[in-house]
Amino acid sequence: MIDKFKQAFQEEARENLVQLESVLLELSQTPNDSELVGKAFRGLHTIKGSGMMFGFDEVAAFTHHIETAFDAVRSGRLSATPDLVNLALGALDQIKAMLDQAAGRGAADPKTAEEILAKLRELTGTPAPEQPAKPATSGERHGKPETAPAKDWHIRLQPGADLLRNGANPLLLIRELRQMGSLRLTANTDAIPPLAEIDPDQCYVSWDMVLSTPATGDEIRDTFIFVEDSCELVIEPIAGPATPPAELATVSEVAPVAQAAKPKYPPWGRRASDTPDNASSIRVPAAKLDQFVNLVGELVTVQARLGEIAARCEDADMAAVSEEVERLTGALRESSMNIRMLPIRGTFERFRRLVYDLARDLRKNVELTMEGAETELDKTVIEQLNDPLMHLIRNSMDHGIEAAEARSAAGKPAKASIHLSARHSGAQVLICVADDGKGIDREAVRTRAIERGLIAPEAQLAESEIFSLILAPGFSTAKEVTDVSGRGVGMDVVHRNVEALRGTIEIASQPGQGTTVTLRLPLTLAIIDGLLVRVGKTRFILPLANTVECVELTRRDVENAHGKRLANIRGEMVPYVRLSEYLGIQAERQEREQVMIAETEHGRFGFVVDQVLGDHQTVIKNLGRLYRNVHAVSGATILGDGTVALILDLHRLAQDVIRTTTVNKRSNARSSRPKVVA
Amino acid sequence: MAIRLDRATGLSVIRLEGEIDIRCAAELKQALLDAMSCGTAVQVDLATAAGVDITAIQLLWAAQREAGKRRLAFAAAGPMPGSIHEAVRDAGFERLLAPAANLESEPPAIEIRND
Repeated sequence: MIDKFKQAFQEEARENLVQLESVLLELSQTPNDSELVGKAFRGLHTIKGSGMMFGFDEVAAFTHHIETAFDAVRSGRLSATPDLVNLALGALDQIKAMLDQAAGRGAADPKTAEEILAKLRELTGTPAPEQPAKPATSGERHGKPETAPAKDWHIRLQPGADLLRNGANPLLLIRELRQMGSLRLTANTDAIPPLAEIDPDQCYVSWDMVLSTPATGDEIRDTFIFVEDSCELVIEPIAGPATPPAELATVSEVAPVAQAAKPKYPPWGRRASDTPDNASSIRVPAAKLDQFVNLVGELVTVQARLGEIAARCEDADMAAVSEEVERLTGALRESSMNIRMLPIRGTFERFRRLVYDLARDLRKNVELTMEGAETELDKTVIEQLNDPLMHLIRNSMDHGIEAAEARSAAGKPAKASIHLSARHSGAQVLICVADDGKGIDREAVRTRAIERGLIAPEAQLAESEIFSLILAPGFSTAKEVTDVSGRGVGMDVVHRNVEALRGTIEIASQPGQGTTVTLRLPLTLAIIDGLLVRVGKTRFILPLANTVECVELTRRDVENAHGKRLANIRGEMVPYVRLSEYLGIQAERQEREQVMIAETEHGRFGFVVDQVLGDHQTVIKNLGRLYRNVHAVSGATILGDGTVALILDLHRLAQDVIRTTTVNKRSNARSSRPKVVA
Repeated sequence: MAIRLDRATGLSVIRLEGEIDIRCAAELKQALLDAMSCGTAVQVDLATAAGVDITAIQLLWAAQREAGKRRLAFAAAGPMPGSIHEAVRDAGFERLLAPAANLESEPPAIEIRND
């Protein structure tokens, strides 16, 4: 059980570190923002407090020093200088390394921790410890001068039934309060049942305390940050000056404190009963979610079989049950997929630190802006986006954005910009990394590609095709390799990762104005709504989210187009392709053909099929390495009768058709088309 | 952590070793119940205990109270490490360590022998 809580602490601490990093980076821009300072302090305090509770003593001890520095900033004795922010960011890295070490991954270098603390002492003017630290007095701990007047506070702590099960330790909280000043307390033992009836995991003791301290109510409250939702907590000031230490009563004399010190002011302590429903969100291991979605996938496949059997039986009752199961399975599938959707904000926020560090190292002034961070994607997609985005940003920072002198010479603002954005587009999400740097040197890319034998010297390439060359493994136009980039590895990683996600990359660049790289990714990699169609005797799935409508194409329509493959859709000419021809499937030309009109990244495009069989909940199965280069197929699914249907990637299919038609004629175009045996 | 119950004529000794916390609270409860069921005096040996948490403290308190009702002696055996003393003090259970004579109606306290 304790291991489970240690795991929970690890997860929460890491989330806290991510948030802290964002706060510190914001603080570096607005060092006088007291709200940010407070957030940083509370974040550090939570890591320290919960670290102590779960036995991460080293983490707690190290964090304590950083927390103390931010307490000094909070009380105005220290400024949030760039040096302090840098040091705190380094400390967060060290805390992360300590957490990794505790989790059995890597080792945290104690020398780094010592160096950080030494620099911190330098910044705060604190002498190095010569002997084991004595318990901090309230004044020391909270950065108040010793002469600050102490006040008496009544604190009532009644642990909830689950406090101990959640891994919290009330004795550590009391110990922390003792460090804030003079503490008298009474343990209320009335609720402890007879020995035989005790639930050993439950805390039956409550405490009434009087704390005499110069600390504020908020500072006292900070002690309980981690547990306040699982206990009844009252913190209220007691009128009048603090009781002098000499007059502190013994435990028995002050008991019962609750009656002696009736609240004179409304308590701002939050009671458990006042809190919103604690179960409004729960933390679930990702592996359990994956298993859940896999099971739903299996259920969807079985439901398809049931549907097939029901159709064969021609039994009304059976058909009714099958339809009901189909409806429920659809709803279950949608719910399970929604559970896996996460906002991309967490991934975006991580790059603030990267931009901050690179800007410092490269001596460039760069601002990272974000848009659409709430856009949701399947967690599997999000997990695999980190590396591509990192390489894109590193490239922008190193190659795209010019040095300050070059920017001012070009009449650009001194502060460069990198803009990260995300938005939905049908069943896909578009993620853009845009910079306002010098843009890609088209000629340099072309020259380098010719040198490397990627293209023939006489090749005529469209602009987008030239830019696509930078995605080739080892391709780099950089004259020197820096720590940041220039080895030609980054864009290859972007290419491979995005391809693995069945996504595409578009690169647009204007000389002197900047570059925009757009990643087009599927929303999910698990289950989609599909449209089952027949071409010849073979069935295929078209992703429903891409399709707009289905129209008929008569022989007369074909003749009226004078050999051009264009369908007249209410006056709009839409290009189309016959899937039977494209895929090399033997099929008899129908009198009336069905054209599925789809919205692709190249505009509306039609796909001629022999028959539309209906919608189909499609569990995506990967096809493996053998099909890696068959771009028009994005996966496969198992149909109700046990046969396999390929899922067509309509964007890539349209792209391939357009390329083939435009260049017409490039001899190798036909050879790359997939052949499907009917 | 380890909890062991040694029974001898007229005395049951519960020996606690290492961290005595929520992880072994159920075991401690059972050991205390077993010791009380013997109807003999009970001693709790905390000499090799590294720490106690509130689950252990409230179990010892309940056992001490029960022993008082049954007129059984309930005492600590041997010296108590500082860390245990500190935890008991922090929890506000100083009376758990007080001599039995001072408790009047309270159950007999765990007796500390400072060797």
